[in-house]
Amino acid sequence: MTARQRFESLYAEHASAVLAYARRRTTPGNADDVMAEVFLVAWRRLEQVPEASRVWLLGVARRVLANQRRGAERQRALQGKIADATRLDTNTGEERGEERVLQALSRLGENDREALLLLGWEQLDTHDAARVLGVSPGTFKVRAHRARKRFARELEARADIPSRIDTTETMEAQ
Amino acid sequence: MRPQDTLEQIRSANPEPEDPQAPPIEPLLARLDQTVRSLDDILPADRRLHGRPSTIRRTGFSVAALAVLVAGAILIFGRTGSGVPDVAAAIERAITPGAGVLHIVTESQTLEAGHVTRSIHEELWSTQHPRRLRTKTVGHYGNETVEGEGAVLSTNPPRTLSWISGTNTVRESRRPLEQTEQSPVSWLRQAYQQDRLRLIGHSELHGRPVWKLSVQRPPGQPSEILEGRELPDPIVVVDAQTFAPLELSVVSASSSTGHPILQSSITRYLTYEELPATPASLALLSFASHPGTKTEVEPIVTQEH
Repeated sequence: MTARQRFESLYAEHASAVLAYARRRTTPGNADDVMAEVFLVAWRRLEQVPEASRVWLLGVARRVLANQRRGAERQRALQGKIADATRLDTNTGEERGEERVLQALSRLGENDREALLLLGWEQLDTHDAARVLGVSPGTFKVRAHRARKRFARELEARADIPSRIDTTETMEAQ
Repeated sequence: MRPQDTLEQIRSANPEPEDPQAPPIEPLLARLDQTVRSLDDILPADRRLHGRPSTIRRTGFSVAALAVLVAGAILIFGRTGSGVPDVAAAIERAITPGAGVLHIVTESQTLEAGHVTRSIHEELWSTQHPRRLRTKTVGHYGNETVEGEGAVLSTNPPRTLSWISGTNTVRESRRPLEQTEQSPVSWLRQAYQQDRLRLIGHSELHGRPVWKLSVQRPPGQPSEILEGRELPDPIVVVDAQTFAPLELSVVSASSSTGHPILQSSITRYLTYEELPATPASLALLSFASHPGTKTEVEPIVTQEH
């Protein structure tokens, strides 16, 4: 297999996962750029791409996002997703739950949030998630454990705050 | 809350529960090819992206060239007494100006995303005693300036006079000449004095045996990152016999368009010589009155207490 063929195979197999990873963390337009940059790095370091290429690519994607120096923008993007969720007029109980989850996630530190998202959204096991973050599995387990506890606290802290649905119901009653 | 419950909640809030369809690969391949080519053009052979054969491997390394290198290395080993050729020290000796008129002709190109954005041809003459510098620049920012400092033009405090050909104006400032000179030679000297020159190896440039060195960044200055990749340090190529600089390449990330892109600049030394201090060569640095020349005096900025 030539380098070109291997690269094309890598793209066919993992581009969707990398794009999804980026879209979950930034704006759709920027996600396309992130994905392109990830595969640019993969092309240049093709000989270093391991068998577990998806994990390696997600690790690169994480660093590309970090290098963009657009922390504030990413934060706004996540908050934008939350705002989109709260704008839904037909919010069901389930959707209100999603909104609360997103709000709780947005209030976590970057490391805590990423640990939970790798497990929850990317559905990686602890070993692979640790490799994406460049830490040992032991370190990752401790981090994920703390992140879960912080997430639970944030979720409970928001449980008694009136939601946007309550406001809608009030308006309808008028 | 059980750990599994936490993850289930997070999964339920996934804004992209299904992986989206990736765009076609073709535009990406075109972009990759373009960027990689432009990087390969400027990276040293051992840091190229596709292991493209180096100039040495492509052309073969002639016995004569090797002999020159060995002779140079022996010469340097003899001076330093160490097992590693101290090319950096030899360069410093080669570019430390003597009593004559240093004459340098350079051609510089700046490329962004594979396109030339700036091209300059510069000729420079300078002396150390008295300190004088004349530069003649032709190109994107074409200009000619003559600057001097020392016994002839300055008294106390020192001053610098610059003649700008474009406006036929002499600008007088109180800045010392060191602050106005942007010569890559002085930059290299400084790098040597700070122990930032590292020998990469030997190669060939247009059939000429050369040494290649990287110029490390000053301590505390982080490397630039572009597209998840650390950009290489500047590379200087010097003649294997005379140690005079032949080429300097610098890669950086430019944000001029709002999105960081690769910017590379290459300076080629077409001439690097020291002319004897004859009346004719010193005349190249003389100042003469030009009809209609205006004079501007830079205001002295004082600090208020």
